[in-house]
Amino acid sequence: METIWFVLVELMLIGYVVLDGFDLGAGALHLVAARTGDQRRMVLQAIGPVWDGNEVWLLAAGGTLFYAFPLLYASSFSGFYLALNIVLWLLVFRAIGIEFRMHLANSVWRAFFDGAFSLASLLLIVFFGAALGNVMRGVPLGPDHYFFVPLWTDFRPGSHPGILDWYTVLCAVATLVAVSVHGALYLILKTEGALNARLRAIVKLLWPALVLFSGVALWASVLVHPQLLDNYRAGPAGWIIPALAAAGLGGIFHFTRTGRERNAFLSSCLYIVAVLSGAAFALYPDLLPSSGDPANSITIRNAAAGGLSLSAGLYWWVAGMLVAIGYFVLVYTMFKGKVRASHA
Amino acid sequence: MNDALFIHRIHFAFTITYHYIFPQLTMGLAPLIVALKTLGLRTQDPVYGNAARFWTKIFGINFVAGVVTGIPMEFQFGTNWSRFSQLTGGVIAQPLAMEGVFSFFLESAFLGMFLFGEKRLGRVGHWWAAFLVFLGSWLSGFFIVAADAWMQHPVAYNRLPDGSFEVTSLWGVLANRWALIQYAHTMSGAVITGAFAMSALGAFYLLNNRHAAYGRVFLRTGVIAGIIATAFQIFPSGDMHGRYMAHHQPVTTAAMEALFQSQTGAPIVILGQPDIERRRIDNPIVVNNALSFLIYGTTRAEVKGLDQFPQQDWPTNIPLLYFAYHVMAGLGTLFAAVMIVSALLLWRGALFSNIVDAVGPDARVPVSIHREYRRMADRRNRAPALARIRPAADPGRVFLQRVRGERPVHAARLHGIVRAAVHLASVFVPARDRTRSRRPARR
Repeated sequence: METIWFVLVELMLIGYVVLDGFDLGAGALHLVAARTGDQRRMVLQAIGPVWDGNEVWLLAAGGTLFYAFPLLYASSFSGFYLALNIVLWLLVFRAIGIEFRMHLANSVWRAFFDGAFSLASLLLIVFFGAALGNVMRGVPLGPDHYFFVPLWTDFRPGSHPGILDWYTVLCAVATLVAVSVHGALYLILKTEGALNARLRAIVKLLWPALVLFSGVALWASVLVHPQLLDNYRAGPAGWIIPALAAAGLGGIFHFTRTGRERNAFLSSCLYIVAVLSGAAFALYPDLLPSSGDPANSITIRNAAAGGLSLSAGLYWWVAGMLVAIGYFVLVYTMFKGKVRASHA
Repeated sequence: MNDALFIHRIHFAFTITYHYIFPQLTMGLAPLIVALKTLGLRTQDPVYGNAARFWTKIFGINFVAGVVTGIPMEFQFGTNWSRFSQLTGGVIAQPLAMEGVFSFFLESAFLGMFLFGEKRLGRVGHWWAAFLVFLGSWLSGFFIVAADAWMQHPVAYNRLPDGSFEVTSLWGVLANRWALIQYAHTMSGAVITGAFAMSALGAFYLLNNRHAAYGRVFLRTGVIAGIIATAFQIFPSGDMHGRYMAHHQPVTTAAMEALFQSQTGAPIVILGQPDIERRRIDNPIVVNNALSFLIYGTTRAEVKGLDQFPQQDWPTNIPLLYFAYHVMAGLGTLFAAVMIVSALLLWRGALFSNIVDAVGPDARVPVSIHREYRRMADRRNRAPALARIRPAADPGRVFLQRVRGERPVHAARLHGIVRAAVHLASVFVPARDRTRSRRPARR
């Protein structure tokens, strides 16, 4: 039962990264790629009808995590207190950047909201990347499964790590590159003209960086936390995951060159799904590994809620998520195709 | 006062209070928008469609503010109340997760369609989008209330060996009687907020002679929803909530009413300050026997006072609880009174003319709007550049001419007050007689 919920929570988080990833990436590139007022409006129009729904995946994943693994939620949220509060502010600024912009015709406010949207998106990606790095590296959990990490210490992932050290910063940068590519590919799919051309150039520039950072981050993860390879050693079936990630990378390159926008975006989705599944597969059964004594790690067994609670949830969760996926299919079908500056 | 617990409580209280400003308005506006969309479908009058679109913009921006102030609520369970979350997550996180899965997805997906997809959806499809947004926001309210109700009145749970809680029956948690009563009270409160917002804006438009057609639609819709919601808020939902609380949390009821001594025929305190040291109410205005009657339906019943409970079981801050409760009850009564008067005027066909005529340009009864117009008009005469920008038929100028040409200001004001009073009184005169005695309406 715990394993089922591990997979379900992981699926929701992957859903979040794939979906909100592209509008976060679009935000990070907003100031760089979209130069004119029309182009900026096109970016916002491309994500306008969907970004809010995408962000709900974070809320729903958070709620499901809280419910299935209360200890993990309690420990990680109080341990990452400061970082989470920064994330909250960034979410606030991003949302008002997107939504308030069109209600104020003043150019200074427009510039402020554009900046808020773009900078907050960028920093959110960095923080989420660093969070992933922290989970992969492990945190100094005490015997009561609680911990506290400061924002940074000496930038070394040793026994007293900070939220930011060289490894998590590396993860953050790799995430920023990957999510920016993802966002750019989505915008390419939704736009045309000069904006589209500039985004293509950006993808061409970022792709080698993405390959490089993927490789380095993989190597660094194994270096920092060698046990991550245990599950791969035990079951060779796991090796299909990195193969899929590589296929995704190849797909991005190939389809961008041949101009098949939809396939390029789907390749990027495949890449993100593969990388996150690979990380989850490596962690299992840990949810939050301890950087010290492995006995302090938060695992699916010591963190899961009572069995009755978990089985009660399975019914509504499956039904509810099927319906929710239905809405998303409906929304994306309805808003498919390119946006044009003219109906802004 | 300075311990961490107190700080965390203040922190949570601030977050939830600030957050709730937004969902309260959106949950209240959602059914009103559906009502406007329905009227638009049935009457084919474009005014309703435009009115719905207008309120949807306000809904949309408040929805986003609600989401971003709501995420901190969910986070705070983990960041500030982690032990509590660890123990109760198996129960209270269930409705929270259900809220995400069932209502947030529904709401956000269809809000996107509702805001951006009117052309593609068509009229009926767009009505459905509005309805599903309404459904999503009200479901969301239910799940949150269910989680809160479980914390007030826990049901259907087990304690596990490590001290944590697990659900024995999900249905039991959702059908918690406390949750149902609290939900009814909460949602009618939300509709009151939406109704007041809508009717206030309608009144503002009518007073300013702007967008009069919309002003009338807003005012009518708001007042009709408002009279239903304010009445429902007091009876049955408020009444049931009060009685249920008195049975299950008698110490809370005693503190809210500041009932220090148990007594038969307990009074209800309308006004007065609780003095915790001396255990009495200072400067009280009370209604005898009323509390016993409201809780038990008979004036002779005994209501338990604070003296029946050990002091460590008392709520931490009794004056805060007492005043918050009394302000709430007082405002609820005031809302009902305003809506009753407005609904009566609406029913007699006098609401719009009351606002436009009696409180109109030559009378603006108490009000600062009156002075603003005068100041604006004065400044206009001194600044010809400004006069060119303003349209000629500025109500400020009309008003100024009338005031200067016909009669001194205070006389105009007095005249207005008298006419407002006559109009109010005219509610009680049968409609037909009154229309005959009135001069033709100026439209």
